[in-house]
Amino acid sequence: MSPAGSADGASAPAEGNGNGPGQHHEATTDPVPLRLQYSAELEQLRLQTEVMGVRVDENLERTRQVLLTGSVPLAVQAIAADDDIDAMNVSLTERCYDILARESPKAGDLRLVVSVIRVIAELERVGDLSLRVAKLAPDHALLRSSERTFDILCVMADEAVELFRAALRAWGDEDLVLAIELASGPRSMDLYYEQLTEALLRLSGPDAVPIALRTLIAGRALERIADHASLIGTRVRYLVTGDPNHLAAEVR
Amino acid sequence: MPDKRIFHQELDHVRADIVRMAAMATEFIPRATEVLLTTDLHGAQLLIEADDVLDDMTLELEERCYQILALQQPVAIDLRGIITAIRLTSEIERSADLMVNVAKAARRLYGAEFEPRVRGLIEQMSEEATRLFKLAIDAYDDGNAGLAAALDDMDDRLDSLHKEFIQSIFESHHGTTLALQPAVQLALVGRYYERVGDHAVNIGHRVQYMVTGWMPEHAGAARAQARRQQADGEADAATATAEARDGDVPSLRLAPPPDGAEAGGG
Repeated sequence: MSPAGSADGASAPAEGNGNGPGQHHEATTDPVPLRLQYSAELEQLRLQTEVMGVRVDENLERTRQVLLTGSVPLAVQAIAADDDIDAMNVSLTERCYDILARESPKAGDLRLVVSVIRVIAELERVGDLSLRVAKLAPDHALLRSSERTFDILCVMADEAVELFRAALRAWGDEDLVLAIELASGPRSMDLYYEQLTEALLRLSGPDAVPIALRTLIAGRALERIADHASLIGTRVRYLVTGDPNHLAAEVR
Repeated sequence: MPDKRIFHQELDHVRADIVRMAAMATEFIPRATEVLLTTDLHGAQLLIEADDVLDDMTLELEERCYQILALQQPVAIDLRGIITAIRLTSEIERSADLMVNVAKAARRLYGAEFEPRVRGLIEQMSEEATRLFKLAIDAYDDGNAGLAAALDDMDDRLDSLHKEFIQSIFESHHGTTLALQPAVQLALVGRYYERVGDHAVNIGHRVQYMVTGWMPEHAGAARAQARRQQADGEADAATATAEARDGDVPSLRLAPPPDGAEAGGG
């Protein structure tokens, strides 16, 4: 990870901005050089994004446990924890907008700030999707009653957790190789989802449709989580390379 | 100092381009449905090619937005406008991709016969997804935060259609009019329409933020803050109990969403 604000991001804070940072610091006698303060702010942004990712990861782990055990108290805990994740999202978004307006970052710095805005949106979505699974806790017995599909769901949960953690590592280390690997979209989840649908359609009996509807909610959410992990990979790829061809993460 | 007049022209262009791209993506929905229901393989190919054009537009627009950000130093609502545009390109692009998936499914479903009920539900999901997507873009174009907020509830209809669709596939499959593999493919197709609805809701959220600075996560953030304040108060009074903390969480939020999960599935 290169220090924020270095290399191609070595731009001066905006000039001529009436309430820009320059004026503020002339008026006060803050001893911290402006560049340094700005760089530290960007570094904080990057780190706080990582922290938010860790919170989402914790909730994803709770979700996996809820799926395995049907623990309602743990689901309640996950729901409450998601509010904290929302709070981090709001606070980080506001900080990004503040930095954009105040510092008019250029090049690498701009990429970092916009990447943070986009990555925290992905993290937030992963948090919401894991709640969808956690909220199925009261239906645990029903989900579990079909052994084959329940097994596939558990494998999908493991895979979702693993891919999400890989995405967090790619972000934290700015690991281009890992980012590209994620961005190329591991297709395992699509296959699992197809297997899941197929296994569900083989079910019969009065519970078949209720089981299928609930299992598909969980399966879809887990598959979406993997997709968001892949999107984080594409954001990291653009952050690291700065290649405009990597801009629109969805264009493959 | 950047020229504000030019900047606002640029901003208007960005908005017009987003609306144009969204119109293309919206048009994909009935087209993909037609391809699916008539197994029009040539039509499927045309749609896949049209998506390449949309991909190019997405890249070009996103790069332009970055340049505007870097050169024009927008603030407040203008800044939110540019960031919203960047984020909307993703939502639009992904929605179009979902419809390409429908067209590709048509290839895999070649020769399969659908019951009238299944066909009817596909048509209804298509119409509903088209309506939601159009409304989301109207909300963006008009800066209408009220309409943007209403999309959340409107998406419920698509969610229940999707549920009905899954049920009809089951019945059709067990009634042996639909073989297993086509049934699986159809179930996947239903999910694509549902996700377009999710993207419309996401667009609604982004528009709300652009216009008002409000994002849906503000609600969760407020609950988190209230809980922290209460926990602090309880710690001060040394009366905190585990039950009280658990009691903070409204248990009704655990109500299972088996049929219509909350908005914003991405």
